[in-house]
Amino acid sequence: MRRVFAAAAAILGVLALFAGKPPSMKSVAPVELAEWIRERKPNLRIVDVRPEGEFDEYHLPRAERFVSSTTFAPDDIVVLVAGGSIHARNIYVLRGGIQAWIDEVMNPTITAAAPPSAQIAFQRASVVSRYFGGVPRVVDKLPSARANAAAVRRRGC
Amino acid sequence: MNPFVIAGVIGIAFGWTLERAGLGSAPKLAGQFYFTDLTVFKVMFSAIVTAMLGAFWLSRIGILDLSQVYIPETFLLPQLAGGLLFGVGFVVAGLCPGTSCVAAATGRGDGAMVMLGMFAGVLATGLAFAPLRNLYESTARGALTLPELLRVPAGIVVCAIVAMALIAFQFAERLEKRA
Amino acid sequence: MSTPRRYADPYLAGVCLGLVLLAAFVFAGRGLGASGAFASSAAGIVAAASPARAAANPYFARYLGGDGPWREWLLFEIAGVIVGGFLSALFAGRLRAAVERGPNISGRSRLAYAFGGGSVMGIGAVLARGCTSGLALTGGALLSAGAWLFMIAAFAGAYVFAPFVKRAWR
Repeated sequence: MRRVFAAAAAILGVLALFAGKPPSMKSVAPVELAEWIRERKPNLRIVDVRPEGEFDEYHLPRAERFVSSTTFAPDDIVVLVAGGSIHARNIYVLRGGIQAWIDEVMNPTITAAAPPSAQIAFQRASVVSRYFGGVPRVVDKLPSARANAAAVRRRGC
Repeated sequence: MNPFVIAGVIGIAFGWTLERAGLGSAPKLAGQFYFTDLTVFKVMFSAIVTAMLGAFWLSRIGILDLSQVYIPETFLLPQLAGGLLFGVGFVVAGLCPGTSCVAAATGRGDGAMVMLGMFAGVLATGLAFAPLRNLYESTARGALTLPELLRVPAGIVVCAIVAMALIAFQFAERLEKRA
Repeated sequence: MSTPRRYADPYLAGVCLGLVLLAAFVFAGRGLGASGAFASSAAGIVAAASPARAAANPYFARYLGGDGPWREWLLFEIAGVIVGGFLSALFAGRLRAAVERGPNISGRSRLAYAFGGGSVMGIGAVLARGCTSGLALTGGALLSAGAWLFMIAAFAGAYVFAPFVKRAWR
């Protein structure tokens, strides 16, 4: 039995050398994307792949709606907003979609008791938030979905 | 499913496995540090290798999204200092926080005492936190991983750890035979 | 009482433990832990004794947000650990009221060592934000740099200090 385990581990370990990068495509966090937009990152294209109604209701600054005639040049840095999966080198997905942009760039929140690392992140978010007309706030309680991830981060294991 | 139900079920499996391995018995655990019984090392690193390979490959084939799994964050100085202290406490107590619960659950009074000590230590440290705060918050590196730190692909780190573990297991077997 | 069964093969137990950890990644989006349960309970008890004091304490305050210190994933997990440990010992004939110790110290000394060692582990776990379950196992499998640092430091600390407590175990 031990030999089976050892052999399996050895095989899976050696194969890992050839596994390359994981298939999940690169993603960019909302605040970083906001910085890219503000700094006018060259070749940046923000492609919103949601239906027309949703796009008209709200979209990122400088976003274009994905239509059948949309094409990409090889040097383009493409960020898909609420998109599907396309496997190619320079294609990013906005991590968390449009809701994350709204939560983290337009309405960043922090609690008073947050640790310094969270405060630094909040300050960075506040700068771009104000630039795009958002509203950074200090709150008593984080909204619950984000509270869960924040809770693990805060409470340790 | 309710996350707390999942937590409980996973906990039951965790506790069961620890007890089956004999890690609910302090003298057995302490043997690790006198080279007479290397069960702690064998269980721990078999577990790490298994979960590491599992996470790597499930993520590679797209079943597990690692970006959705909380990775413990790195704080260099606190984890170095905390680790050293933890190790000292561990060899004195003969049980770690998780195994102390298993020991207590199986009737071992020393297990219950380790739990009490843990609780006292955490409580005291929390109450006297102010002078520790600078150390606690220092040298934060976020969710830094070994591949990022060493600037190599994760596959290389995975393979290296498997190789080191398999070699170390060989040494462990020989060391135990000499004891 | 029937003869206790032998312990499982350590490698088999380790693989099973690894699978439990993997299940936690897949079904809970996080790994295992233990010291966090102690921290959360400590925060809860301080808050029950003196809510103002707990809220003003920078360490305990972090456990008071969200749904509070008692609705903590790790508390439910540790409850499971206790149940699982109990059941395993029950079926293996290993349930036994005892104070396990080395052959050359008394039960009372052993209990003192247990409490003392536990306290020092508590300090270490607070600083490191985890213990062998949360950092070494979980962080180790996920290749967290800090977790591997903690693991190496913990083994080093234990091996270096072991000669000083030899009488407790030998």
